[in-house]
Amino acid sequence: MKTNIIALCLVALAATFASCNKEEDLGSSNIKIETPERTELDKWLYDNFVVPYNIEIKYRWDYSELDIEKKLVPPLESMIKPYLQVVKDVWIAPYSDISIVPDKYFLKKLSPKQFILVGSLNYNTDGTVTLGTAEGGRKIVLYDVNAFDKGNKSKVLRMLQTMQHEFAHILHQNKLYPLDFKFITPNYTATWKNYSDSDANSRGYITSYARSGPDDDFAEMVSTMLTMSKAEFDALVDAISNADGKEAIRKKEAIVAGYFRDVYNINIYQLQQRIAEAMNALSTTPDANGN
Amino acid sequence: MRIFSYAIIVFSLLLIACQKEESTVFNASADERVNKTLSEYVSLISKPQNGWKATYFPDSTKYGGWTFLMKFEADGSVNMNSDFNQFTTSNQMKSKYRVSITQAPTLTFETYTYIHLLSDPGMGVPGEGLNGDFEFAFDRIVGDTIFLKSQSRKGKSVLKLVAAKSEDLSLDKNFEIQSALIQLTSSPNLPYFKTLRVGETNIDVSYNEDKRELILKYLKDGEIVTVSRGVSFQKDRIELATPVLLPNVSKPLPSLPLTIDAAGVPSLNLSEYGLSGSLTATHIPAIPYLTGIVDIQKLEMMVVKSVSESLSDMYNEIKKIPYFQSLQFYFNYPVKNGVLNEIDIFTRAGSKRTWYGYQIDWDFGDDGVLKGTYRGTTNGAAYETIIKPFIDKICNPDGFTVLDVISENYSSGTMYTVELVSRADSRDRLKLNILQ
Repeated sequence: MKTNIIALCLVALAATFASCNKEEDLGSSNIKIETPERTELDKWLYDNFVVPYNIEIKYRWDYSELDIEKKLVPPLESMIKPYLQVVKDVWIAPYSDISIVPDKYFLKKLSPKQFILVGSLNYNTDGTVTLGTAEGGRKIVLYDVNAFDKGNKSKVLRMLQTMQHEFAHILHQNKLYPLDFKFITPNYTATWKNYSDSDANSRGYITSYARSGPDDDFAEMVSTMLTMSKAEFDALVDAISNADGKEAIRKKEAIVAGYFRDVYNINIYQLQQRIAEAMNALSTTPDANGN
Repeated sequence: MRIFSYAIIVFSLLLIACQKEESTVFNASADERVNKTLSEYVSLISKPQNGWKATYFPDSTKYGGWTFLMKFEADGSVNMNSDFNQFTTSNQMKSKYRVSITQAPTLTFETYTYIHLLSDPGMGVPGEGLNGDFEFAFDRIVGDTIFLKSQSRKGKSVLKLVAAKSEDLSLDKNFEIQSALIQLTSSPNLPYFKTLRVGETNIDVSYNEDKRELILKYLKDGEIVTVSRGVSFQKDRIELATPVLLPNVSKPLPSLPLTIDAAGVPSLNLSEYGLSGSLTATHIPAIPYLTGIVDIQKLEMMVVKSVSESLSDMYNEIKKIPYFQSLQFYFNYPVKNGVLNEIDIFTRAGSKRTWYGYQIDWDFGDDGVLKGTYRGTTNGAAYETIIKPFIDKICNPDGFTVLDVISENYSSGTMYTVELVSRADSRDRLKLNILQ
């Protein structure tokens, strides 16, 4: 009797599972997985940034990528290609030159994987403006794209300085610079904007913004060195009348050069020269102030 | 036997669990319905052959409105004109838009075009812009009009798209109305004050071009009433953000219809409201300006900051006087000290300071009019012939209207600035200021 009951249970159980064996037609997915239709600009971005460097360029408005408390606007579509062509020429090309940067994967590994382009400046409540931000070594937001003029040297330098500054943050977030750097001029302050660049120089900071904190001090040193030729940088430092200030900046320069050499196997002075040549090749003209 | 019973119960439950009888409220999934709705909105906005005409007041409490022509294409592009300026009026700009779902179906202008001028933080107050938006949630559709709510201003401003007719396809007329108003209110060759006459009521009018704001001042029961309205420009009128009720006029006016002659001069035509009306430039304001004259007496002394073109030759001759530093107007200080008020030429040669005095008997009228009578020089005979033509202008018998004093705070003190406008010829104007 007991055997019959067990057999009956097994048969019933099998029948139960069989009854559940339904193949339903769930229909086609509503998630769009096909490649979006690319405009000429999108194709250019894909060929020049996505394929070689795996860098996504976002220029269409997406507030979720930005600070929603700020008033910002998207870039002019006509500005995207000229702006990014200069980024390619003066930022990507020198770092991709294996005679200077031996690791051919350097930029592929360390470059931010997403550039967000914003048309306007990013105004802060303290009266300053932000030109760029770097987040977690993965994303760079570049502001003021609509004001860019590739024929204007000061505008190109401003963009390049922003790029170099934000990339320097990514580099030190990847591997920190020697701690000695933080103690050369430890009087960092949140009120940096109240001081001029020349005042900051005399206190041992390369720009006034460098006084805001050690990381920005490091990034400002890198970006200043890499937006000037060696002669221009030396002239800037040599013109500082305060001997202590001058000495502090030279110490920081030595740490930055050592960091690039030891961590990334890059001679920063060769890189500096290569970028200066790329700048000269742009045939920019100074603005009305001679900048 | 008991085991058998349990087994029957368990199998029954299992079979019930497998019994599926689905009945859905909708005949499609949520995703399908969302995608269908978004497609319908794209079809809707890209359907009108002439596109859409939109007048957008980004913040009617602070600013006026701007008119746009928008032609959406199904491929995600939009062509736009705006009456922002001459260039945007006549040059179409192509950019991208998308319709997406966030909390509601939303229209986003996703690359820069003319509508972004109203939210660009570089416009207006740095960092603030003109409070505009470029992301709008679809709110409702009434006939051939779509109402969309601003996202960043949480629905406080509305973008109203009206299907454009063939006669709407140019904003040239809108820009003509705007240019005529700017010309009338800011041309240095026209009398300074602008008077809007509606029925029997005279209203002093001024226009803030940057904010697209009309400021109206009129007398009501002996008191000066000031109202301001954001404005937009239509083909034949100035549209007010909200209607304004003027004294002795039974109904609020929603707009000021204008015609422009060949020379660009506007004329007000209120016949559609059953009213007579005019808009003219005048040497004397429609209402008295009272506060400025009280303020300059309190300030006691001010320095000439600038003069209008009609006075510049005379003023330049005075500035050629050796060691000239400034031309100073004394309104009360000397009188308090028992002597007549003066206009002084102040010179400084090294440490030697000299004030050449020209005595003026000021009449501070209760009607806000400042009149001066020249009483002769104390120690300035050497330069009297140089300054006399200027003093004659200042001491014209009709006097000067003293505009309200503007104060600006600086770390070194408060800068007070006032403008004096001649009632004999309002092209004669001078600005005085003092840091206290």
